[in-house]
Amino acid sequence: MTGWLRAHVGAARAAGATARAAPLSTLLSVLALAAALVLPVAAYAVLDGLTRIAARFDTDSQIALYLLPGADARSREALERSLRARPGIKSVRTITREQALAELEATEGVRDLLAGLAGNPLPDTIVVRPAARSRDALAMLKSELARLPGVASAQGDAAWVERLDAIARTGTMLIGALAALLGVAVVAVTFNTIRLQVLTRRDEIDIAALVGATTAWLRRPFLYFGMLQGAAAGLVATAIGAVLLWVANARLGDTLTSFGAGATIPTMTLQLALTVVLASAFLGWLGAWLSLGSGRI
Amino acid sequence: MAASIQFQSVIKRYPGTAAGTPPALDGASFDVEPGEFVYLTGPSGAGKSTVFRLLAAIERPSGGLVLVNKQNVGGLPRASVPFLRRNLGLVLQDARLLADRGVFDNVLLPLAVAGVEPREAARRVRAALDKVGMADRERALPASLSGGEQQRVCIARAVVARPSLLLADEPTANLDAVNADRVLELFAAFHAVGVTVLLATHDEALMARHPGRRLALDRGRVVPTEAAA
Repeated sequence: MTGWLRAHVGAARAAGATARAAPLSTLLSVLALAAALVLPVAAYAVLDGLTRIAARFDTDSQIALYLLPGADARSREALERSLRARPGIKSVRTITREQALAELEATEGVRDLLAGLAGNPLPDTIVVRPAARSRDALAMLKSELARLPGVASAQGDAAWVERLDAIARTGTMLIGALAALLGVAVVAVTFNTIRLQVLTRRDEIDIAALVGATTAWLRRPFLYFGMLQGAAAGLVATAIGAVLLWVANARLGDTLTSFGAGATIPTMTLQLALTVVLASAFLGWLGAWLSLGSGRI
Repeated sequence: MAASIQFQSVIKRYPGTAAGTPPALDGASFDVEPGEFVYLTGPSGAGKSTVFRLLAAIERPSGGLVLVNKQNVGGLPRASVPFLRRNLGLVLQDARLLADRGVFDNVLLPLAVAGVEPREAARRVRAALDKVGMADRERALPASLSGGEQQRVCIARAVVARPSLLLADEPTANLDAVNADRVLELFAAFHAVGVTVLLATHDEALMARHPGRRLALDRGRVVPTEAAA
């Protein structure tokens, strides 16, 4: 084993020994950190799950092109063909004025209203599904299509997409802010834990420094302790989050199934669990590093 | 190789001392040749401990030069200080041992920080404990040892890394005559194999029994030996 590796293994063992020397306080610290971490972890998993459920629905936006009254079938078909050939359009569907009227008549309460009209007031409609989903791209396409010959007006229907995107964006932002806030809490808790350890081991640090310990050698066990404590808290938070999600799945299973076959809030993914453990290990290391800097080691 | 020490007009003024108070060291100048055994004597407050603190780079001089092996200790960058200390054996008046570690682990510390391979380190720790007569107490905690035994453990810790310079600040101050003699015999044994020894004491009887050059300090200055009494 090289000297460098031996020094790191020794520091990790020393950190483990510190945890074993005070098991109750280490356990309580880990639980406090895990409690701080579990909220953003579970919230992220739920948001991720809801986004996936939403993705199962047809959330494509569409633009309805209302044709000029009296447009004949030939010009309507020509317009339809030119739209199909146009890039950036996923599909085109025509609803003739007769089909539209028939659909309306099938709607409860509307039939009597329509009976009072002299003729069919509805225009032919071509429903276009654009490939793009961004608000700007949809607005530009809508304005271009509205200017096509034979088109009376164009109406975009991106509200659902926009609403969903807004919810996802807001959710992500809130979870990000929550995670940042609780990340600061993890750093602060580790900072204090390490500060206390430095105070109680001041003699040991001074003696080691007198016999030639470098700053890196003195700091290493504390940094390992912070990192291992953070990683342990991440593991516990992941486990608690997984249990909470499992319970949520069990309780909401029937409701979610009604949205579509197999639609469930996903359980904790390996990727999310790994991210949480690594992030909390880093936060623990950061708290320890800041604490050692302030403790002049 | 034995180490040399040079103090050239060294001044040490501790921060926070009242105006008009004389400095702890006030232009002290002396040399210690490689392989010498030197007693540093003088009354309390003469500046003996300050000499050791400067040599171990615990403090930096306010003026003058402190040289160990012609290296300016006062000008060493902070990162180089640990490497200077690895070449020094330091024994202080109060045995500073890790209370929760056994004798073996206490003596192992200088080798652990220097990254010595564990088997080699264990061999050297046992050899050092054998030299100071503590081989049979390697598992004992410091609290279970007498003052003399604790000081012997400190000496083992000071010599385990084979330093070229042994600095001992009143190592016998808390010991009875028998234990003080044993400790001095240990220093004499290390001096016999070429280690430079600088030992602070004001025990005249001890110095009479164990010969060595005397260097006297008074009020931060080197004075003729008789004047320091």
